[in-house]
Amino acid sequence: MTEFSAQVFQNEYLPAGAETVDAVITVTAHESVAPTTRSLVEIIVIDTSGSMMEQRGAKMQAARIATRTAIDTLDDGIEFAVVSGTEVARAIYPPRGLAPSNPSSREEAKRAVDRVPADGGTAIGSWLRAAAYLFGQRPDAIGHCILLTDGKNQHEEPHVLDAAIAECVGRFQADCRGLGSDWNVEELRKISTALLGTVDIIPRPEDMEEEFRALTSNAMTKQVGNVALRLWSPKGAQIEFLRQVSPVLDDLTLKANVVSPLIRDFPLGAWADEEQRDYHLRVRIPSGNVGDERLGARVMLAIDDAEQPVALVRAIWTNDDVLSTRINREVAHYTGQAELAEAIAEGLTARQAGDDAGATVKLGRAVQLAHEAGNGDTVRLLQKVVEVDDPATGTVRLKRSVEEADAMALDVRSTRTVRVQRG
Amino acid sequence: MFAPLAPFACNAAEMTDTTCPHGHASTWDDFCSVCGDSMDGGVAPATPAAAPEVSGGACLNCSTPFGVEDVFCESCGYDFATGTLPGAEPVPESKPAPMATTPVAPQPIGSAGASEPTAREAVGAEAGEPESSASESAPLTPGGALVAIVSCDREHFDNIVGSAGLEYPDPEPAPTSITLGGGKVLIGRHNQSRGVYPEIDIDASTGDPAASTRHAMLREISTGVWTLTDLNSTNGTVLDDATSSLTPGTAVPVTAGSVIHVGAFTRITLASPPN
Repeated sequence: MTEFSAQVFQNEYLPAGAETVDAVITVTAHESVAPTTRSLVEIIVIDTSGSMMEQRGAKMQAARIATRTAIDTLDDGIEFAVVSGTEVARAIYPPRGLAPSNPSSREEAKRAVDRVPADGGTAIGSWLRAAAYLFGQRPDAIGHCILLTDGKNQHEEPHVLDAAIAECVGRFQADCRGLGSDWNVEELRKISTALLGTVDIIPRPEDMEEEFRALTSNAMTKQVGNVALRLWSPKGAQIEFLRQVSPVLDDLTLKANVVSPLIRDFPLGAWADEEQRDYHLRVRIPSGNVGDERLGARVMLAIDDAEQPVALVRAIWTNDDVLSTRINREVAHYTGQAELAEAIAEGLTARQAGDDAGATVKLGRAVQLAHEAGNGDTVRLLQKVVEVDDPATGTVRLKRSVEEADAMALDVRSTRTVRVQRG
Repeated sequence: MFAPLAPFACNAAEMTDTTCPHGHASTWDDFCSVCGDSMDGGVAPATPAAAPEVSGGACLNCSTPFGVEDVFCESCGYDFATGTLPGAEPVPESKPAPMATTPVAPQPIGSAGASEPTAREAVGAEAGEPESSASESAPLTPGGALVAIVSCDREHFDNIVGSAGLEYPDPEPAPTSITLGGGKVLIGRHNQSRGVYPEIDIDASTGDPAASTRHAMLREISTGVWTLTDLNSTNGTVLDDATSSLTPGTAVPVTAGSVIHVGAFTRITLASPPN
């Protein structure tokens, strides 16, 4: 049984009349005394549409090598399947259902991957449905899917994809990867967000092998699935937002499941031992009198049906300005990180719409925020899109020629945050 | 010995344990599980130690009237705080146990030292009220320590109708003796995933499977004055020779010599500690 603990960072002192309580909650999964025997099902879905044969087949060849590597990374006993995706989904290996990983099944799977042709269209919703069907054979296992595409969802109406995503929610997690720059960031982000996974760009085919190895290894570290952050908040309260703020930004507010009138569950997916994530909660509660203390939220972790109490978010109303104006470092830091991601998204949208002035202002602000937060990775991504004259003031100029892949990388990676420097 | 301080400091929370300063029935004793207000208040409760007869309203589920201190409906088991029925959801049983110390959560401000003067006033104002019979028994020792002897009771087991399927332990575990330091003492069965670790752990003594995780609570409400409250346990709590179980959520006085039965065969005898 994995045990969770949490640490709350907040300024609990509010001025008279204030209703908004902000807190950063760091949740840590601890290695359990008795290791869980929760099994993993891994499904790899690779795009085998005709476009994968571009660059004289280099993309398809790289996809084969990456998939072979992922298969080799699987520990014995993990059940897996490899699916080829075109305008329909077809089993590559095994021919039907799932196969337990062992030396001979891995060899057979790799041979099947080598033989798979690339020809056809792209209908990602049908791929997701196929994965959901396969995961359905082991409903108790932790389900993880790697989904690779190099193109847009051309052979399917958007509402068909949306319906497929909705069917898959809560049944497995999906890490989506886009190869090259002909795919649509919003499409893959929609999938990965709903399915509690990540989205990223693989700019060059040769980067794919390492990415697949890392994704597979990471999936195998997960010890506990179906974890939810369970929040109690008082009568009359409103959860303004709950967002994951580390390692990546992810707004969970709309994913709430109502447990009872005062209790909401926010699904967090699977956790590895010693994994740590930060959440920013903003809750509005009825204000109290000066001197009153009120609980803004009780934070619990729900695993399947078991519940672990972990932390309290509190509010104390005071007339002491010294106390109430104190800014909590963690809350300020992650508020800035969210603003950074927003500035990048707005800047890229403006840039695409041809609004150079708007794009310059927003991306300049992004450079300034990333610089202040010490988010060097994001500064480097921004530098591929803008010339930075002065990071401290956010003075930038738009670059005239920008690689599309660089703009996409900035887009998908803009939600990666850095943690507060502690100590 | 600094013993008198600790029980006094706890008293403000103890007295209003199931009702917050605004009169909400709460399933927690640190903050109200309805409005979130600190159970310590900061100011003395407007209606200290309301008599259990005072009506708290009618159950939303079955319209049975309930007292303001009631946590659950006596008739249908409806949980007033969470609005759930027993069996419908795990909520009532899985509420965060006050016993479970959250690993890193800060202590509520004012739970101890800060509210101490208030606590004293509250105790002073209420002394001799509903627990008058209990307070007549002279304080036992500084700190009012009691010893709970947990043993198996064959006679009780044989008297229970419908304990079919349960077996009396063979060999019978030896009686366990637990010194009650004061404050709150939970009787129940430990549950790691819920973070419930009772002071009187039935699993570790008689292993009675018919006891609930959070079965009953012993509380020292004033030095040497103890009460017992059934926490809406599945199979009830029986005090002394009573023919029926305690009303869940209602505190009754107990003293050295009281005999508590929980589960199918567990007997808890309270005694003064040997000198």
